[in-house]
Amino acid sequence: MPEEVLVVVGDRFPQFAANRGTVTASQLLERLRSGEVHGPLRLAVGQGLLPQQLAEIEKFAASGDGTAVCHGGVPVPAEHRVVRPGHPPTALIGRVERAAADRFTAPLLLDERVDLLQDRLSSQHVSAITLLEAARQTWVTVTEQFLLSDEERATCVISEVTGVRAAYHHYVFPLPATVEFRLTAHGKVPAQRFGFTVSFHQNQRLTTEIAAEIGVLPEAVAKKQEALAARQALHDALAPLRAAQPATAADTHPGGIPA
Amino acid sequence: MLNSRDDITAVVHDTLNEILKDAEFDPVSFTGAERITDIGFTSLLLARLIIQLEAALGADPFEERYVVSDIRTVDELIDAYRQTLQASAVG
Repeated sequence: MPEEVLVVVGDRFPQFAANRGTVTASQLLERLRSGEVHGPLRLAVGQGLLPQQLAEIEKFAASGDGTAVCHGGVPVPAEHRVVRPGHPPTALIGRVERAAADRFTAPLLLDERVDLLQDRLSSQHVSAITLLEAARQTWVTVTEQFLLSDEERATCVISEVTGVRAAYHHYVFPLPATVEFRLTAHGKVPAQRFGFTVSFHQNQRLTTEIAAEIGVLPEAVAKKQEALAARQALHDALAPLRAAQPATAADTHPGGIPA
Repeated sequence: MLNSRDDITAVVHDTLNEILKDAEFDPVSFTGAERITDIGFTSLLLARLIIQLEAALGADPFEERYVVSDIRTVDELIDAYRQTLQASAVG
């Protein structure tokens, strides 16, 4: 039987899955479970699959009967604790690994429950805002897992993000893709600052670059800075009201008698 | 608790210079008339200053009585602490 080669994508990409050479996760698993696949099936895992679907595909690939072989393996989602504490379903990247002192990589790994994917249900490509969120998750993960000391990790927060610049060179489709974080600057005074570029690559081609800087502060300082700014903003908002002439009874109760 | 103006002044001056040193600014011999923003204090350094002064003096005037725009000079900052400490001693 001839070998079949397919990219499996999440059910949320029906438009893209209409292309020859693709299969949705549900369709693939139905075929594998029913034993309908008799010949060798070579798979690449694209975007938008649920963790359970990834795990089930891995189980079939690991069974060793040669029915399903996953090219590049089945990616593992990043730890949710880091990327979205309290929001487990929405990690957009896989496990981050250090490739060099200043370079880190992860698979792009969109989960079909990602709210942002709703934006592009009628399109074949992954939306720009989804990539921006994947970039944000990447810089949070790299900072917390690799750039901060143990003590800083316990006491500090990313307090500001500045200078975000994005360049979208090519569409990203729900196919395998990688995310690369490259550290471009690091300052420590008066607070830790990291400059970086997060780039997305698909089919060995650079598709998207997002550069930014973040500031990392002790949480107590960040909270105090925010509290001072909040009180000042409230004060400024109330100032015109305080300066206004008191309302007359006629203003307050036009045509009537004040209570 | 430190309550005399001289005590509070000394603590405020020392803390201002400690933070300026950490931020790699030159130390200042204060007259009191210096504008806080002119000597290098950003919102970040001001937040640090207030945390450190609260630890040293036991009060934070910016929690209730003052907002940042009320305070322009070093002497006004010292007065804010003095009045807050006096009010808390009376209250």
